[in-house]
Amino acid sequence: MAVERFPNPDASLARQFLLGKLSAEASEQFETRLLEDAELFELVQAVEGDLLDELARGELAGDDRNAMVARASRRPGHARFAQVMTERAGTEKPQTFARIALIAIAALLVIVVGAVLMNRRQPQESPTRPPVVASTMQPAGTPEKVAAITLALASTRGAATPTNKLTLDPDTTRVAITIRLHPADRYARYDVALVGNAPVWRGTLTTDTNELMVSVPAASLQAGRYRIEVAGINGNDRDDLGEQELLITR
Amino acid sequence: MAEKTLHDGRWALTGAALDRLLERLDADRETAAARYEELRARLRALFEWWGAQDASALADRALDRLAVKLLEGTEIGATQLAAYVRSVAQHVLFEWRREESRQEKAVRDVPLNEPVTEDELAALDRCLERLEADDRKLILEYYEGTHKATRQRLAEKLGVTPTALRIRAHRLRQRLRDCVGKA
Repeated sequence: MAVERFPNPDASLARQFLLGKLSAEASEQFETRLLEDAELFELVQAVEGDLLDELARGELAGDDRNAMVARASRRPGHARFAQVMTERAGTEKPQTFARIALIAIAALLVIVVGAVLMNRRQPQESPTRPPVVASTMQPAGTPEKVAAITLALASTRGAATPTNKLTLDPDTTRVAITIRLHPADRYARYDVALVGNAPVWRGTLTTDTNELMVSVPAASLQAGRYRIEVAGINGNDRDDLGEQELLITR
Repeated sequence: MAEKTLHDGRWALTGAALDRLLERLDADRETAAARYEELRARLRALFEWWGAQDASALADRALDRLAVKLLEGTEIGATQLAAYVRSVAQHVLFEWRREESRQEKAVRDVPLNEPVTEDELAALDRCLERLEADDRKLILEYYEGTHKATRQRLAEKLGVTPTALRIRAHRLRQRLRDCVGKA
């Protein structure tokens, strides 16, 4: 991905240098060039700015994120500017610990509730579970009974994945489908379609997080196979982000 | 005999040493002064990229050391200056780490999780307004379209390479950052 994003070899080298991925010898050569090459020096500064933007958008993980957090600590003004500019441009906001914690707690709740309910209804279920979190919940204080499922769209993109299953009770009134996006897939809008034998739902969504939510009446989903299709839209640009299959049983 | 002093374990630059360094950088005094500032800026960035927090002071220290070495008569080949400067800088960095053991403090808290305030957005908006319309459009499109293909299309639309687009965005980012810093 880094090479694709930076076809210029020096830009790719700059990225590796800033992320601490060059060998000692390569770093020495690169640093020597930096001191005598004004264009290369400016390019490294530009790539550093882009990396701080990626950090602000929550697109970095693992060692890359740690490396840039350390750099941000030495350039707090630059890091803060990246956050403010990202916010103004409407791109993804930084992943706050609070938001991550909320998502984790929500996912954990859904897992626990789903596991309890599924275990109660289907004690003989195969140990091979789909890569989804599914549950049927009764929101407190409302007459509606909601069945919820989370699909990790991007993490399974391009790979063969088990079918995501959701069982609807006869009294289920609504189905809530959460689509988890890859952190790098940041778009102003998302075109989402839920398609069975015929289109069930289509709409344009925006999000401040890595997730999209689609809520449809349970009555619109008969038992059968459905497909969730997601595309990212920036201006006139549209990128297909992938799809996931959903098996509804009743 | 070189004119140099050692103060608190650090070399202090003398007028003669500075003159020698400027002569080495360029025969023309004004050009030499400009090159000195460029070299200082790059050294400062290099120290920051190496993880030092007192990057400006260390850049000065490295240049002082270089000037004294030149005054002492150290021979540095015409094509070897950058490599020599880098080695001096690295030596200064090692000294600094030994003296202060500061590397353990290198990572400090960064406000990555603090929400952006309305005041910050308002300051940015004021600075965006000061840009030429084309520049404002470019920087906003650059930030709105972070996907590789989107930026490629933006570069094509502007008739520049992706690297040239990145540099233009970087220069605008610098101007905005400076503006916001003064707001």
